[in-house]
Amino acid sequence: MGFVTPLLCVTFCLPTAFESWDEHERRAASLIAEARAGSPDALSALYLEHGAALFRLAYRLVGAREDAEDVVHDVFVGLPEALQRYEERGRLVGWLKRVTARVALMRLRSGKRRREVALDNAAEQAEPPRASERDGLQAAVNTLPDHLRAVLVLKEIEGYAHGEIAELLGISEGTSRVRLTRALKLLRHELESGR
Amino acid sequence: MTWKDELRKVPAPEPSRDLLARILASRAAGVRVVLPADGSTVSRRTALLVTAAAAAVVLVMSTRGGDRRPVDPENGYQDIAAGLSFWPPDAMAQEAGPPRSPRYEAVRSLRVARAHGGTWTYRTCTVFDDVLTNCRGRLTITVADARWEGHPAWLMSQQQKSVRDRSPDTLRTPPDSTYFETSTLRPIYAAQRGVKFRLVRRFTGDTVREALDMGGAHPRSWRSSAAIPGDRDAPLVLRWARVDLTLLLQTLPLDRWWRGSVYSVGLVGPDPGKTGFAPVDLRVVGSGRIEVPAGRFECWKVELRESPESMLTLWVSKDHGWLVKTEQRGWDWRAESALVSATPPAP
Repeated sequence: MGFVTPLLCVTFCLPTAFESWDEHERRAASLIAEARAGSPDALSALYLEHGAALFRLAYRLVGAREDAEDVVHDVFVGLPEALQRYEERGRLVGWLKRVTARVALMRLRSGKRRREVALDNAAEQAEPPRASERDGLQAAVNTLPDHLRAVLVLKEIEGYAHGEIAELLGISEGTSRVRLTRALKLLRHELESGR
Repeated sequence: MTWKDELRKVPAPEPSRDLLARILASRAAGVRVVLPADGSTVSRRTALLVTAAAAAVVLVMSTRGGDRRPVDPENGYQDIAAGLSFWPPDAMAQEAGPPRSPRYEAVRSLRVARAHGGTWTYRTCTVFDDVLTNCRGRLTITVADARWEGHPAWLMSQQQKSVRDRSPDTLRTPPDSTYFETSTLRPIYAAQRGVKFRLVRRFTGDTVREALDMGGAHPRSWRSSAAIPGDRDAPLVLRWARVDLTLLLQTLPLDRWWRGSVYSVGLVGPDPGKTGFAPVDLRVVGSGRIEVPAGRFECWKVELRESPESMLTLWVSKDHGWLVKTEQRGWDWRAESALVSATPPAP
């Protein structure tokens, strides 16, 4: 039966999946159109769908909860106008993440952030108890300089390609690779020296 | 499970419960944020390199001769102006945006008796990504006693030279010179010249008059003037160069909580209405002993802001007010200059 189910699913589940995908796309398109027009309900719906993921990305880039909230606040406050430029190619979440990353990086560059309390504080607010290795890893990530941490977060956590990182950070692909290598090297060093 | 997998599981907090409410309240209150476009960006490093390259091209053209096609008057001025400095375009006076107000009180009570002549040479370095370092520049600043129309004045000049890759040659910027009033440290006359251009600025009272002449196959000239903001006896600094700061820093009454603003003078250009006499805000942010090739100095650490985005850190020696070190940081680059040698006059 375990063998039959996938076969059945290929035959019968795909149309259903396509329908629900279409439905999803329609709903997203409708939300985007309403948000463009400035609808608070549409903006709320977009926030509820994507806000947490965007916040996590911002948090990992700027390193402080308050700054990450400022970033997400700015992104959603500016979203209706920014959506006028959104061409609906690719997935909305990808576009939102790129915009969020840009806003977070601009904040890092402008030096406006309140970064003194870095990722450590997340421990109190972040859920479940964590393994001690993860604590050490988090602390080690905190020690990285901003420009190295940005590449590490975008590549290893967010899964961006070096080309995309290069575009986001305004650097060359080669520089992105060099920074990742340096970030990983520093991280390893931190982890080993902390043991 | 590798530590890279662990990395993806490093927890992040959830946003505050009231964040959505704050967003909606901001929208309802009319707050709008212009988000960055989702296109390619040019980094400060690239901008810096492009500007430096453009400046180098103009420099080489102006010092080596050759032909130049005519340019229309509207764009020609910016073309020339860009070539007069190795600083990024946003250091130019013609940037867009509303005029900025000085952040602090206007600088007064200069200790002009402390001003003194000498020669200071700096090594200039640019560091990219904390790794790639270019330390091929040398900046020499000279201050000497002089007279201007029968009155005592300070004559300051600077020259920058840069050693090129794989070549014993050096690129030298044309020397420029500026006369300053000894009592106020306001510029009186400033001249920069190359083989194919000459820029002269004369300062009288609250007015600057500018004359720019280009030679070559298609000579052209501009004449402009503009009113200078601020008090008539307040010191002024000329933009882009550190030469102007040399005398000013010697005479500022720096102490732990000192702060003050002076106006800077950029190029007037063909449209005086667009001229930005941007205020330069200075404040002491710390002190300490630093070591540079010229020796160890007890210094005031001074923050210099020309715009919200542009900050320069200066280290000024406590004893003589010498500019010992400067540092400017960008996202992935750092420009530094450090005092290599100083030749003060005999006491």
